[in-house]
Amino acid sequence: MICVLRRTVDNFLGRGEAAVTVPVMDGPLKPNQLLEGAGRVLTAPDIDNLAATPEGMLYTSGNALVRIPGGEIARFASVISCLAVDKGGAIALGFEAGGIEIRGGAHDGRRFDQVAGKKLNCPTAALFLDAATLIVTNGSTQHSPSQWRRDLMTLGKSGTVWRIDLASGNALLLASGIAWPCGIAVAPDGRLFISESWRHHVLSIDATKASRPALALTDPPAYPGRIAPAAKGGYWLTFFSVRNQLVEFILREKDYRQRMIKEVPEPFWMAPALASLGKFEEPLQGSGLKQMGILKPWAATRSYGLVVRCDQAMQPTFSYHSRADGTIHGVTSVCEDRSDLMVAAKGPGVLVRLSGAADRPAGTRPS
Amino acid sequence: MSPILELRKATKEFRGVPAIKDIDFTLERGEIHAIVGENGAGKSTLTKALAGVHKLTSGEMLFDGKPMVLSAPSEALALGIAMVFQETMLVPAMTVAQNIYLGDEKLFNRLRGLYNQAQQFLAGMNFQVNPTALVSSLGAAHKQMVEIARAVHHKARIIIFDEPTASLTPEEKNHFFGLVRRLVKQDVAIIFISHALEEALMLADRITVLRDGELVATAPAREFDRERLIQAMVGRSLSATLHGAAQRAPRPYGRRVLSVQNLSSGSMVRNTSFSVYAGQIAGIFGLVGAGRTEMMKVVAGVIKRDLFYGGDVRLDGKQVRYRVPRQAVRDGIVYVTEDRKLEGFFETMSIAGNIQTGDEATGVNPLKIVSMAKARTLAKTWIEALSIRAIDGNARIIELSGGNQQKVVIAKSLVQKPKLIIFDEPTRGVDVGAIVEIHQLINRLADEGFAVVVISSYLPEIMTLSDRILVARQGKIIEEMSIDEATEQKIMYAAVH
Repeated sequence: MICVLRRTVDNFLGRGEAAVTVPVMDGPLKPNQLLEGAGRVLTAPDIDNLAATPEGMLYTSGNALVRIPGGEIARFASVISCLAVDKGGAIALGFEAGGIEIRGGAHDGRRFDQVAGKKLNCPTAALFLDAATLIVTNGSTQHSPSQWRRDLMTLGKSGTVWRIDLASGNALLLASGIAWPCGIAVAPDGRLFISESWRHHVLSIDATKASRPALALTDPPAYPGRIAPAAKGGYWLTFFSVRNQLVEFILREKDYRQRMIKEVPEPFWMAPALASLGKFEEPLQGSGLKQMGILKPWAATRSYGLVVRCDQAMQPTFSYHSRADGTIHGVTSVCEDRSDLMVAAKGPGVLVRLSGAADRPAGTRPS
Repeated sequence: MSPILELRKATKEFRGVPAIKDIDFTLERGEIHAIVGENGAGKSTLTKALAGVHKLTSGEMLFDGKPMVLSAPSEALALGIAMVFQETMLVPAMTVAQNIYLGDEKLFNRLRGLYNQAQQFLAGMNFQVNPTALVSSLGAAHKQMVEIARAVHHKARIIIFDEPTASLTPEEKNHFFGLVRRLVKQDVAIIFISHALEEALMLADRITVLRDGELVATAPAREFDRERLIQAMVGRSLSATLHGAAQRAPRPYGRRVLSVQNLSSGSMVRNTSFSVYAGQIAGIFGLVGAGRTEMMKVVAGVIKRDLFYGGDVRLDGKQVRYRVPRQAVRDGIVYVTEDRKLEGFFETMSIAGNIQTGDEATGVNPLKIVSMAKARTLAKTWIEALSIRAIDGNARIIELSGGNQQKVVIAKSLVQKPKLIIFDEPTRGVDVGAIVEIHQLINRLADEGFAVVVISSYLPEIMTLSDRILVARQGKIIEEMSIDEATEQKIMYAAVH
C-alpha cells in the first residue's frame, strides 16, 4: 500500500523511479573520439563474438565462424549468438535458434537445447570455467538474442544464468529474474561478473550455487554487454548502446510502448539501436548544430560506440568512444590481441584495432 | 610632507601577551600600503589599533604629524579613518541603502530618496547591488561591496581593507582595484591586508611584512617577489607546496560515490549532472553566482531541490533525498561550509564542545547524554591529528586563528566518519602556513580513499588540489577537465563564456 502511494506521489512530483534521469558521462566515461579514430581491420556483416585462440582470433559473422588469419572455418544452420573458447581448444557456440553446441575438446559434439528442463532459447554469452564446466546466460525466456529490443520494450526480466557440467549434462541455475544478462567474466575472488543490461548493472554472483546477486557496477549511462578480461589486470566492458531520457521515459509509458510495438516496424522504434539505418523513417539522431567543431545532437542518441576499461572491482577507469556523429557503434565484443584491443562493432559490421590499448594497466590513460 | 599616519614603537598586549611589538609604521598620503603575514602575525591587531578598535599598550600614533590617542572607532571615523572588516559589520535586517547611510541619518529620512542616492552611489562605483535588497539576502561578495561603499561614503582619508577580495570574482576584483586606484588619485591612503600575495604585489606601492607580532620588512612592492614575500612571512619557502602546478598525474578513479542527475533547485541550480569518485579530489570552480555552492548544498541536504522534477541524487548507486543535513550526515555526506563563522561552529563553545556537536549529529547517541571526558579525549585526538594550535580542547574556538578555526570545523566534519566530504572555500581567510596544512589534509583524505569535493574560486587552489576539475556556470556543471589537461586559461574561459 505504502509502495503504491509512494509511486503515485513520485509520478506526480517526478521523483524516484519517475525522475527519468540518466547519469552523465563524466570522469572515466568522459567522451572522446578514440574509438572512432581506431584503425579499421576488416568489414564483416553482423560481426560479433571475438575470442583469442593460439591459432588466431575467432569472430562470428552471421552463421559463419571465421579465424584471422585463415578465413571461414565453419558455417552453421543458425546465426551464432555467442562464443566461448576453452584453453584446451574446445569451443562453445550459442545459436539464434536456441541451444549451445560444443566443438572440439573432450566433449566435442555435445549439444544442449534444454538445461534442467528449461529451454536455452536465448544464449547471449558463454564462458568456460574449466574444460568440463560452462557458464551460459539465457537472455530471455520469450525472445531470441536478435529480439533484444523487443525484450527491452516489453520490460523483460526473465534472464537466467546456468552452470552446465558438460560431462553429465547436469545444470545448476545460478541466477534468475535477470533483465537481459549478456556478459560473463570470472571475478578475482572466483565469483562471476554478469552484465544485466536492462537494469544497467554488472552483478557479482556465486559461481558454484544459486545466490543473491550483489551489485558490482551500478547505473552506468549505457547498456552493459559482454565482458572480456584484460591481460594487465581488470576487464574490458562493452556497451552496445547508450541510455537516454527519451527512451527511459518511453520505458515508463506502457500504452505508448504497446502501440509502438504493435504499429511501428521494429527498426523504426524509438529504442536503442546498434547503428543508424540511415532511413528517413527512423527517429532522428545526431542532427543539430555544430559548436567548436563538435556536433551537438538535439535528437536523442540511439546508437553509440563505447568500450570501458575497468579495474578488478569492475569500476571504470577509462573509456573509448565513438559519439553520436560517429560510425563505430554497437560494440558487442572485444578481445585483446597482444598489445592491441580488437573491437567488433556490430552496428556497421566492422572490426577495429585500438593500438596499444591492451598494454596499459587499468587506470592509465593514453598519452 | 609628513606621513598621514605614523606609528612609533607601537605595542599592543592582551593579558600581558604582545600581539604586536615595537612596530614602526608609516602611511603616506595617496599610498596603497599592503600588510601581509600569516594568521596570528598581528595584522588585524595593527589595523584595529589604527582604526581605534584597540588602544595601544605603549608607543605613539601620529595623524598628520600630530600625536593622537584613539579610544573608539567613532573617533577614528571622525578623523577620516575607516575600516572595512573581513567579517562584514553590516546589519542584516536592513537594506543595502540603509546600511550605507547608517550613522549618517537625518531626523526624517525619505526612503525613496535614500534608495535613489544609494543607487547612484553604487552605480558610480560600478557595483551591481540592488539598494533596496535586504543585506541578509546578499551573498558574501555583494556584502563586501556594500561594506566598501559604506567606507567610501564616509569620505574617509584612510581606508583600511581587511581581506577585501576574498569573496570577489575576478571581474569584481578588477572593479575593486579600479576603485582603489580612483580613491588613491583623490589622495586617499589605503591599507590593504591580503592573503592573496599576487594582489599585494600588483596593487600596493609598499608592502609591510609582519611575523609573530613583529615587523619583518617594509619596502616598495617592486623590491619583493612572491618567493621573497613568503619567505619573509613564514621564514621558510612554501612556494612549491602552495603552487603544486608542476605537472602531475591525477589519482586513479575509485568507485563512483555520488551521481547527481538533472538536479534543479530554484534559479541557482539548473538541471545539472555530475559524478564524484572515491579516492579523488573533484575541484568545482565557478564565479560567484555560478551555483557551485548551492548544488553541493542540495547534495548535503542543506537546501532542497525543486519539488517537481528536481532530479536525482544517488549515493553509492542508491537514490537519496534529504530533508535536513542530519540525514545526509548519517549517510556519510559532510559539507564544510564556506562561512565558518556563521555556519561552521558555535563561537561561544570550546574546541571540544564543537567537535562533540559534530559527533552528536551522526545520531549514534540518541539519548544525548554527553560525557565531557569523552568529548575532551575526542578533541585531544583531533587536535593532534590535525595539528590544531591550541592550549587544549577547552580553548574557546573564537580565540583561535582563522586557520585553526577551519581545522576545528574540518575535525567536526571528519568525526562524523564520512565517505563524501565537501569543502567549500576551505582556505578562505586562512594564512599561507595553514593553507599548506589544510591542503595536505585534503590530499591525505583523498589518498585514504574518501571522495572529496573542493569548491574554490581561487584558481591556483583548484589547480593545486584537484584531480579533476568541474567548471560551473549559470547553475550547471558545463565542463570537466582532468588536471593534466587543465590550464587556468581553459578553466576561466569555460567559467566565463
